[in-house]
Amino acid sequence: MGISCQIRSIFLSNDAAGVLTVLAILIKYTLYASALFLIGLSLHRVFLIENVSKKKTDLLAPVGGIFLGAVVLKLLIANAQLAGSLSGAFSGDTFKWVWRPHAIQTYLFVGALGAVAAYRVFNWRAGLVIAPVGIALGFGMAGHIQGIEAPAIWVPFVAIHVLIAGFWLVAPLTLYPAAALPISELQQRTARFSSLAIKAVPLLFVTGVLVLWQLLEGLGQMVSTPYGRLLTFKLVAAVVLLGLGAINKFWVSEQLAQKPTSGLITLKRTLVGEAILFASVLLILTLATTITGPGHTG
Amino acid sequence: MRILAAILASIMVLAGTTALAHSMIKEINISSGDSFAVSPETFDITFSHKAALADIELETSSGMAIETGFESDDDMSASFSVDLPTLENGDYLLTWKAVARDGHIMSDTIDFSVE
Repeated sequence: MGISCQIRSIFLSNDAAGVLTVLAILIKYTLYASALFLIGLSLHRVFLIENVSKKKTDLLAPVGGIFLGAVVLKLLIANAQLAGSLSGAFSGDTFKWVWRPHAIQTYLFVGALGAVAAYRVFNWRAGLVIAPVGIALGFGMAGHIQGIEAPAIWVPFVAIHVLIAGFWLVAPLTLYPAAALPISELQQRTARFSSLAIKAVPLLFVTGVLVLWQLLEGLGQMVSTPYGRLLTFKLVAAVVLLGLGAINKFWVSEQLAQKPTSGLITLKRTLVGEAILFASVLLILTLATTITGPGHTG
Repeated sequence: MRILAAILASIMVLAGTTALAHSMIKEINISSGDSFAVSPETFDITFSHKAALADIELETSSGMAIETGFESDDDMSASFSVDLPTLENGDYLLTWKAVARDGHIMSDTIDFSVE
């Protein structure tokens, strides 16, 4: 069955498994988005891309709350899937099976949220480093990479990939030229982000391709299996994102300096384009990890 | 560049690692639509990777539960063999649930008959 048919049948199905799969997709999407936002927001503060002292609102707390909710709901929906019905979400009989492969990940996620809370309450800046690292490691401690032989070797690769993805994903938000943001500060932010991104993004691609190579049984599966095809779409979207990043770096930054008014308009457009592409990449990733997986051939 | 070089060096080291992710069913002795002349003695299932067999439920087509004596084991394994009671002629539903090492949840309901 093709990916589109599979998605259509899931959303049209009204049996328990179909409903649970739709819920699992929604929850996992929220989990991925909130986790990456939390990583990105923290790192942008660490690297002084975002000047928090001038902000009236701090997104860390609400995003952290959404992330915590998604972590809990993901466990509950997995429990419901194992029990076979939504009412089985709280079944103690099945939960021990769900908990075991997710235990370390959940501890890391909760620890990361504790670090965010310590930063927010006590201004403990180390929390801004511990939180993203904890979340990134958490993604390596569960999921498809844990299905391969010797998964421990690949955990750092997944963690680096997730850290850089979060750093990149939040850029359309922190670099967006809000009305209250002086152009000089915007230029400073974009320059700082670009100088870091130019070093980090190649690592994102290298780690992503290496992990993909481990998950698939051969590069031929990139086009011959639904899982491979979804990850190929993700790779293509990431390449387009890279192109937009290059436009920002080499053209929009120049335009901002020479003609600020038109530069701001172009920057807004490319950032909105990036945000849409990021949302698509997350959707692809969610579908790849929910309705299919490595080894699925049809 | 130094980081990239280190990663490329890691590729060389790890190149020999075998990889087959995401547990899938490799072998199963009862499939939907199967008809047995003699009651199957066991339910055998082999996954491509280690998994935990969480539950086995057997019932008649009228919904009457049949005790299998299956007790879940905490250890993960690639192969499981569960003893089945001697089944009389009729239609049956067998539901199994398993959790793979990567957290992937697998389950299926198999309808088969003994004639």
